[in-house]
Amino acid sequence: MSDKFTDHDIVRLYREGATEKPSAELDAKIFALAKNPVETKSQIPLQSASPIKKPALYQTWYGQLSTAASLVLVTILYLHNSDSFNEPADNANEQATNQLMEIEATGLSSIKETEQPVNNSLQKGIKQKVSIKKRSQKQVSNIMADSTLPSASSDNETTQLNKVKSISQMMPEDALEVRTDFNKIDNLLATEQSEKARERLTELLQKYPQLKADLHARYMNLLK
Amino acid sequence: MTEIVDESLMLQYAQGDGHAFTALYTRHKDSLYRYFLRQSATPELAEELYQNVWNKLIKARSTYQVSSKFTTWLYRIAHNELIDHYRRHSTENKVITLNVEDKETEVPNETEAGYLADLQQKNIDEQLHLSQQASHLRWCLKQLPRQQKEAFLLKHESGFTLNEIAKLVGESSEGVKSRIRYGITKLKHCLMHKMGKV
Repeated sequence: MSDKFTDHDIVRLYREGATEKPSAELDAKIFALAKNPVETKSQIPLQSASPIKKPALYQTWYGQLSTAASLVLVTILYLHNSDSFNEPADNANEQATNQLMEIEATGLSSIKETEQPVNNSLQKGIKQKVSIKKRSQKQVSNIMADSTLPSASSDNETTQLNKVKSISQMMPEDALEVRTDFNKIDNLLATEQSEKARERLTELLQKYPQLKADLHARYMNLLK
Repeated sequence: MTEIVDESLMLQYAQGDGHAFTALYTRHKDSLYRYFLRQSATPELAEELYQNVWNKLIKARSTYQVSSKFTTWLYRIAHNELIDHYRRHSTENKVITLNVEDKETEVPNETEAGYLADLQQKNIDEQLHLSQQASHLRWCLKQLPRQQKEAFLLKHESGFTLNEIAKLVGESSEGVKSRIRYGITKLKHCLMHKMGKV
């Protein structure tokens, strides 16, 4: 061989040295696999499955990360929207407080009788904070309206029920005004100021004619 | 005597003919084994990869279709097996290769002993010289970049044409040709250096 190698020399040299063969054991193993491939199929999954055990999702870094991310997201959403969650309940409380102030402003003797229902209304308002999502604004106002009714005497109960029928269909602001007027009329009647009570009732019926439909006999008599 | 082509043997094996597999295996086992041996860090790893390829062939026998040459199909499985292995053990492989390099330069192994026995008629000086050259060439082949080494082996070990190699490894035939040319040039330089002729 000359001092310099040619391509042919390299290839020839490689082929002369390439005498390695697979061992007889390896040949036998492969022949066995070829003759009985059914067994091979059942062995391969076992071999590949046993060393690699898939961990549970919560044990993996991506499982833990996604859980943490979800919690953060939910917290941010809650904090961001917490004002809107509380708003209806606050309104209900505010209404109840306004009613209380209104009733107190009348400065009449029925205040004591109305204290208990007003307190009830406040409690209901607080309860509504918890489950306010499920209630509509109208329901809230109705409940508040009902709870502010005075329940002084059994004689008045039917009157109040009659009031509810028509008043409950009104807007919350109007209902409040009507109730206050009825309370004043009741008080005037109680103090035997029938004339003033009639004037007041007439004004009220002029303003809200729909009240005539289910007006109690006591008020009807007053008008006569 | 006319040899049955590989594709027919494979189809026969797919239908359950065990002798067809024996014939196929006997034809291709040596070159395929050396294909892995030259590109693996250790003989044990070469054996493992070699066995995996035949295993895959056995499992895929029922779906085999004659769309290309059997050898192209076989070596494509082998190529993919090797690529998968490199991907799995990319860092580990470098370390092992360095260790193997040291071993290879020391003493010829058992197969080299067999190679020496074949050269008994030649005079002892030339025998030693040739065996030393072959040993050096194997070492130099180990040092080649993976793509050049594979292209060289597919051409000169397994006997593929440039087009077939290009199809097999997913490269252009010009690219494969360059790889082989660069590979042989590097082998020449490496061999000259090892033999002290530079």
